[in-house]
Amino acid sequence: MKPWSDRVIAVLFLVWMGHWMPATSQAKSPYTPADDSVVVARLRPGVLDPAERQFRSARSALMADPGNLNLALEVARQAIRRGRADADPRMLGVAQAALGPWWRESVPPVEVLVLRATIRQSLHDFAAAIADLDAAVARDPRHAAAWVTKAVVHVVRGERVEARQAASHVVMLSDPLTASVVVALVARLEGRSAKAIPQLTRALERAAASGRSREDLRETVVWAGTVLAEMLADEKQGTAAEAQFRKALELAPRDPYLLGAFADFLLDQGRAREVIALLEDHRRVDGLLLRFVEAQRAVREGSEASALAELHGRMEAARERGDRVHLREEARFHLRLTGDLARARRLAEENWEVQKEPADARLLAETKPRNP
Amino acid sequence: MMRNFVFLLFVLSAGLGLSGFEAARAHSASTAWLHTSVSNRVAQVDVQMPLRDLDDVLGLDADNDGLLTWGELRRRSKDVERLLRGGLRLVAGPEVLSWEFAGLQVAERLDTPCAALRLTAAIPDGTGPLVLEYDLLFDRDPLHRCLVGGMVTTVLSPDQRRVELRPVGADLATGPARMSLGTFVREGMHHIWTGYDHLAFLLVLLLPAVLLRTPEGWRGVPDLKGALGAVLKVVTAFTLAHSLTLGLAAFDVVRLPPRWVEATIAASIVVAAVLAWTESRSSAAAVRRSWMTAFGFGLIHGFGFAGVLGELGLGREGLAGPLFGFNLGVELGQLVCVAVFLPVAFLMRGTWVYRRLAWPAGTMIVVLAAGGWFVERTFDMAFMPF
Repeated sequence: MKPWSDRVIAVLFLVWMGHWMPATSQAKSPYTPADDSVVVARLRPGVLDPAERQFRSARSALMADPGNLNLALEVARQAIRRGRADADPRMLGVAQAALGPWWRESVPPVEVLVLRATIRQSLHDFAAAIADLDAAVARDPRHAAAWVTKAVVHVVRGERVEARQAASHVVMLSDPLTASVVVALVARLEGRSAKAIPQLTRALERAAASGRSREDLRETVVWAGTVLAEMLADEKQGTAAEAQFRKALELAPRDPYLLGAFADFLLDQGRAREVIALLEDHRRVDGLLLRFVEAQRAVREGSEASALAELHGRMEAARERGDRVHLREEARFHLRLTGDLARARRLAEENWEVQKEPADARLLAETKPRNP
Repeated sequence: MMRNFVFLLFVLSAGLGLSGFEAARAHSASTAWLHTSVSNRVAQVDVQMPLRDLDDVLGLDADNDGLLTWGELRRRSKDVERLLRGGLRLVAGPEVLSWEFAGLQVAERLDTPCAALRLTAAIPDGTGPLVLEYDLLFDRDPLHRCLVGGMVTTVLSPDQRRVELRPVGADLATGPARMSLGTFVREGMHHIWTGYDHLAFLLVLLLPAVLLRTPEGWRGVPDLKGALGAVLKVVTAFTLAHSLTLGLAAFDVVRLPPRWVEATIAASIVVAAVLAWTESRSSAAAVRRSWMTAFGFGLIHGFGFAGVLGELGLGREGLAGPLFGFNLGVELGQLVCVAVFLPVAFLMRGTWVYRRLAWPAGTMIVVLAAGGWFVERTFDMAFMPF
């Protein structure tokens, strides 16, 4: 046998081994801590705050009275809000549990329908979410929130006609800022970002000028700011995009979606070091860990291997659970980190069946085999 | 006001839904792990349950500072046990078995701190199949999942709260402890004959063993002795290697993920075939090196055998006998194959059919099949939900 083929086979084998290695290092054996004072788990960032206390007591009250619809709706809403703020999927389960008595009903109260749709779309069960929302707006055609959610899900699914139709209802029923965001999302889907940017910018300015500082408006402003920043980035207006990202981050420094979007922007600009600083404290969130490792890879430093192994393990666990929400991240993981392009392509295609946002389209394009 | 609130909520969730990034996936969803095994009529379940979930149910963080200390957890170990007793049942026929708890420990599972508990239960004689029933946390979080490994691999969910623990190849009514050495020998032989991958591996190494390269081209070996020597080397090397790793894996010294092992075995066959082919063609002396290939890849195959042994539901205790029996079975099975193959190959070695057809075509078929297994096993890894 010629030495070169020896070497080729050895290298192939090592690559093959290496490809699998992260999966082997996830389980650590049980141990007994040395001392009672050892902290075995960090359950929360700090002490129980009043809001959390109130949420807990609402949950306990609901446990005692599971058929109480108003209480159930209240707990479900709060859980969804918390899940959103911390990117914590457990809260979706809590919300679903709160709606337990109505969860399997085909004709539950409208508010249950809308909350159920929200949970389902968060789990990427988009078809079921749309069915719930259609049922909700059929019974209450002036339910603004239902129309907003419906528009957003259609945008995620890349369904232009339905998205535009839902957006027209949002425009009639919602406040101007929300309407502007939804209209902008539809425009982005249709490739008309450039035209929608000035309109969304003006809506944001007007909202800021109105001086209302209520919590609800703050959330909408963050959402609008994030969408605007992403659209500006699409249009290669880097400076303006960055300014919007930073403005939104001032209002919501821990917002997982915003952090992810800003990290993507920085990665595209080759500013990996800033991504590492930005996401250092947010690695609990899988999507942010993914971007963190990408940044580590880009600057070739840090303990990339262990973060990579952790990420790989989390994806495996999600897959074993049968979760369906990680396809995009998994495709990206293989495209950018493991170099398993064939797998990245399969996942990107699978993902495209489910969602069709610009990020999904880009992923699909990047995993396509290049023509010579 | 109410309407306003709902509306606002949807603005929030809208952002969530539009995720360029999966808020729903982040942190981690609530997942518990169970590892199941049976040894000497004792069932063992190793549970790892996220401390965050336990705290949610039991309120473990006594001083509410957000930090759960070992002391806070340890003092509530009885409550943890009570919770598990209530939600985790092992049923044998009509009987609900009673759990023994080994001490509470902690473990890290993918950066998620977990309580680790070992539950054991004696299985009475003459009972039916073992069924594990799991009903923990589902009422608080319907997205909770329990990943079961060991004797079975499955995911327990609100829609599937029970799983039958049926050790492959062993009847629980008699129990592994009662299984005679003969049973394990048979299992070993059965495995080598039905696990085509091991046979395929041997075949690609053995096919060229009856041939020699001479200046005039390929010739059959002059006598049986030459062929026997080469075959013996290959088979012995393979046996030594896989016995070594089978032992290591069975006694839990080394543990490799089964899917990795299975896929690597398939890859090893392709590589071995290519090596055997190129080596044999490039120099006569190199044929002798095929025992090294057999040894190297035999190490991987040993882990594959260990997987089968694990499926029989054996613990580490009293493993020596079954291990010996199983290995003996593998060797016997292997010898039978060689005994059938060698005379035929030896008699045919001088023919055109063997040199030009059986050898290349055999190798090619094996490469194709192993390539298929490789893709299938890797594909499994990528697409099967569990």
